[in-house]
Amino acid sequence: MIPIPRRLCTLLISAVIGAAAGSVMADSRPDITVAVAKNPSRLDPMAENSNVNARVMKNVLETLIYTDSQNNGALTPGLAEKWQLIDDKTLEFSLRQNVQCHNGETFDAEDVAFSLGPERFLGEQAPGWAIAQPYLGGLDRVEVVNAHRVRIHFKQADPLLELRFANWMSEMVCKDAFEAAGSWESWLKQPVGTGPYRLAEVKHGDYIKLEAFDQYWSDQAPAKSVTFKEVPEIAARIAGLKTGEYQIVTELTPDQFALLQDDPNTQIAGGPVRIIRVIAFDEQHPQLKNPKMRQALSYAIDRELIVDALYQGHASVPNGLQMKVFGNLYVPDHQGTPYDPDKARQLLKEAGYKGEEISYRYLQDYYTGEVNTAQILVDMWRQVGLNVKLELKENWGQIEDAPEGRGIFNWSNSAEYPDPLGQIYRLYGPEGWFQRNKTYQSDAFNQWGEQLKSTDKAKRVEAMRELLEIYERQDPPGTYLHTLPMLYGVRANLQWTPTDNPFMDLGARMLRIQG
Amino acid sequence: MNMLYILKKFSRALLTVLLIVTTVFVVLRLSGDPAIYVLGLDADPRALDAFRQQWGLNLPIWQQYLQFLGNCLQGDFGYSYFEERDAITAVLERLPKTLQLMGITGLCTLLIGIPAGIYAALHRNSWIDRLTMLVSVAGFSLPNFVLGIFLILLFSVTWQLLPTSGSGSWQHLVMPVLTMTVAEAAVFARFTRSAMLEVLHQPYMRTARAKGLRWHQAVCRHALPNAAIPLITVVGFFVGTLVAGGVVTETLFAWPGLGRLLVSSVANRDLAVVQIIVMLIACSMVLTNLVIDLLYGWLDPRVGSLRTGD
Repeated sequence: MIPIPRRLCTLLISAVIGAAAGSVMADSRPDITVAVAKNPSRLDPMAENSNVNARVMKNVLETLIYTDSQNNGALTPGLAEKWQLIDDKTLEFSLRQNVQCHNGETFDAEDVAFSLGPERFLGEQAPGWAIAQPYLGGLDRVEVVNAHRVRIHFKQADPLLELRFANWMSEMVCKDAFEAAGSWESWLKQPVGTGPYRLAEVKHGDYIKLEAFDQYWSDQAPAKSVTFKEVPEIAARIAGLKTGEYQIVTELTPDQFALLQDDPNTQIAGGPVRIIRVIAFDEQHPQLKNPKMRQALSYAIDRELIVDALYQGHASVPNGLQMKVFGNLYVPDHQGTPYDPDKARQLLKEAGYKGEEISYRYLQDYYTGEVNTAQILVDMWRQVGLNVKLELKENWGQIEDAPEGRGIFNWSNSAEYPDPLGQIYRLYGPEGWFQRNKTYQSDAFNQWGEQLKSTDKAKRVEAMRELLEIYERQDPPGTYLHTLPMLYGVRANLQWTPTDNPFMDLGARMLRIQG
Repeated sequence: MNMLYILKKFSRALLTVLLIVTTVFVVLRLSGDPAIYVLGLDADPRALDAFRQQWGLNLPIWQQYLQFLGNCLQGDFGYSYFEERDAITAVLERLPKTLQLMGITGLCTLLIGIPAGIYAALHRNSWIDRLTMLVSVAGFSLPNFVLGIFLILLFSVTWQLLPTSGSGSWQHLVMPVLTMTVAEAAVFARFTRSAMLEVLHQPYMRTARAKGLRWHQAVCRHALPNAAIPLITVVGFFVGTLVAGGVVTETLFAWPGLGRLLVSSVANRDLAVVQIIVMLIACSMVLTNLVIDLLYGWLDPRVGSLRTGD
C-alpha cells in the first residue's frame, strides 16, 4: 500500500466534506416563482429597453458600479472594485479579478470593451445602438489598459460619467459567449453575464427560469432557482400567492391590499420608485398656448387627495419635478404648486378662457389607477370651470398621432439617472420627446438645461433651481401628480427589499428566505 | 351535390379569408406604429426611421399590402419584431397548447351538452328537464372570467386541490376546460333539446312506432339523425366561440396559447404574428363552415340540389 501523507489525507477529507456540505447547502435553497404580468421578449437590454427586461435581466447581467438603493442611491463597487475620473471625459475602472462568466470564462477588460464595442453597441450599425444611444451615445472609445483595467473615453465632458455605468444599458456581457452565439438573434435568446443567477430556460409567453450561479464572485444567491412566470391576470397572481404557488407577485394595485393584509402568510412590499406620474400639456393646442392656462390646470389639482384616495399611503406628492435621490441637486426649498382652486379660476379669467373644450388623452390603466386618476382630474378641472373631455386611446402611437386634436395627455417621468439630467432635462430638453414633437419649446429652459451639463456643482444647482421654476410656474410643459409606486405581494417567509427602480434584485443583498 | 357546388363553396371560403386578412392588415397598420413599441418613444428619430425602412413600414399601405400578399404566396409569413424570430415559429410554438385546450373542451362540450339535451327532450317537463335548462341558462349567462375566478377561489384557494394557473400537468387543464365547457355545453344542451323536441313530434316518428319499432329504436334511427342537421349549424359557430372564449380563459389561467399571443401581439403591433393567428382562425372557421355546408348536402340531399339550381 502506498502511504498517503497525513496533510494530504486531511486535505482530501476536508475537500470531500466541504464539497458535500456545499452540495447540501445548494440543494437546501428553495426554488422560487415570481408571478409577473409580462416577461421581456428580447433579453439583452440593448434590444429591449423596458421595465420588464430590467426586472429579470439585472439578476443575470451586472454593471461596473452598483447603485445601493438602501443607501439613497450611493454608488458602490460592482464588477469594478474601484474607479476614478481621469478627467471630465475619461473614467478608469479597475475590475475585480475573481469574476467568472456563466460560461466559465474569466470576466476581464476585453469583456467590458466588447460590451460597449461595435459588435454590440458602438456605432449606428451596431445592433444595440438604437436603444442604448440615449444613454451611452456620448461614448468615444474603450481603451483596454491591461486585463483588469479599462479606460472609457467620452467625446465631451459629462457630469453623469459614473452614473452611466451604474444604470440603464451599462450591463456587461461576456465576449466569448456572444461570439459563440453566432448572431444577434441567437444571442438574444440566451445572454451570458456574471450575475448571481444565470439563464436556465426561456419559454416565450410562459416563463423565464434563472438558476443560481454557484461560481458567483460575491454572496451566493439565496434561491436555487427563480422562475418569472407570466400570469397576466392580477386575480390569478394573488390567488397563487395565497396558495403558496408563487412567492412574489408583481404589479399589485392598492385595491387588492385588503386581500393580502388579512392573510398571515402574505405581506405587501415596495413603494415609490424613481418615477413621477405627470400630466403633459401640448402648448400647440389653441387653449394651452397661454402659460396661464397651463398654470390654472396645475393649481386646480388636489394631489394629496388623489394619493390618499388611490394609493393608501404608498405614493407621495413630490416637491416639484425632482427627487431626493438627486443628492446635491435636490432643491429642498423649492415651492411646489399648492391646490388653489381660486387661483386657478383667477388665471383662467386672466387668460380669457370661455369654456372651450380641451381633449385629454389617456390609456386603459397603463399606469396604476390611470382611469380613476383621469376621471378625478376631469372633475377637479370642471370645478374651476375647465371643460376637459376624456379621450380613451388604445396605445402610445395614438396618443402621439394627430397632434392637432391633442391637449392634455398622461405621462410618467422616470429618473433614469438619479440626476436632473436623467429626468427633467432628458425629457423636456431638446433631445426629449416633447421638444422633438414640438409639444414644447422654451429657449430659457434649454439655456438652463445646457448649464446643467456643466461639471461645476454650483452652476448645476443654480440651473436646477431655474429649470424647476420654469417647469412649475413660468412656462409649464406639464405638471406632476405623485411618485409612482411599484408594489409587490410577497410570502411571509421571504425578507425582500425592493429597490427604487423596476429591477427586482433577488440576490443575497436584498433577499433572505426562511424555512 | 356536385363539383360545381363544392367549387362555389370553396371559392367563397377563400374570398372570406382574403377579406378578413385584408381588413386586419389595414386596421392594424393604420392604428399603431410598431417602431415605437419596439424601440420606445424616447428612441432617436433616426433609429425609428431606420426601423421603419428596414421593415418597409414607410411605404404606402397598398405597397405594403401587395408585398405582404406576395410574401405569403411564397410561404414567407414575416418576422416577429418582438421575439426577433420568424413569426410562424412563434405561432407554431403556441399552437399545440391551444389545440390541447380547445380539443379537450370541444370533446367535453359535445359529450356533456348533446346527451344532456337529448335526455331533457326525452323527459320533457320533468324535474330533470327543468334542472338541465336552469343549469344551461346559468352556464351560458355566466361570463368566462367570472366563472374562472370563482373556480380559482374554490378549487385552489379554499380547497387547495388544483393549481391556480399555468400549464404542464392534467391538473392545470381542469379549470380552464371547465370554465369553457360550462358555457359551450349549455348552448349545445339547449339546441339539442329544441332540435329533438321538434323532431319527436314529426309524423315519421309516429309512423316508425306504428311500424312496430321500439321507442329507443325510433329515437336512434329517426330522431337523432334528423335532429343532427340544426346541431351541425351550431358546431360551425362553436369554433368561433371557442377561439373567443380561449382568449379570455388563456389570459385568466396563464395558459401559454395562441389567445394570449394574439392579445399581446395586437397590443404591441407585432403585425406578422397577428396576421398569422388571424389567418389560422379565419381558415379554421371557414374550413369548419365549408365542411358543414358539405355535410348538409350529404345529410340532406335537397340542400345540394337546391343551391346548385338542379
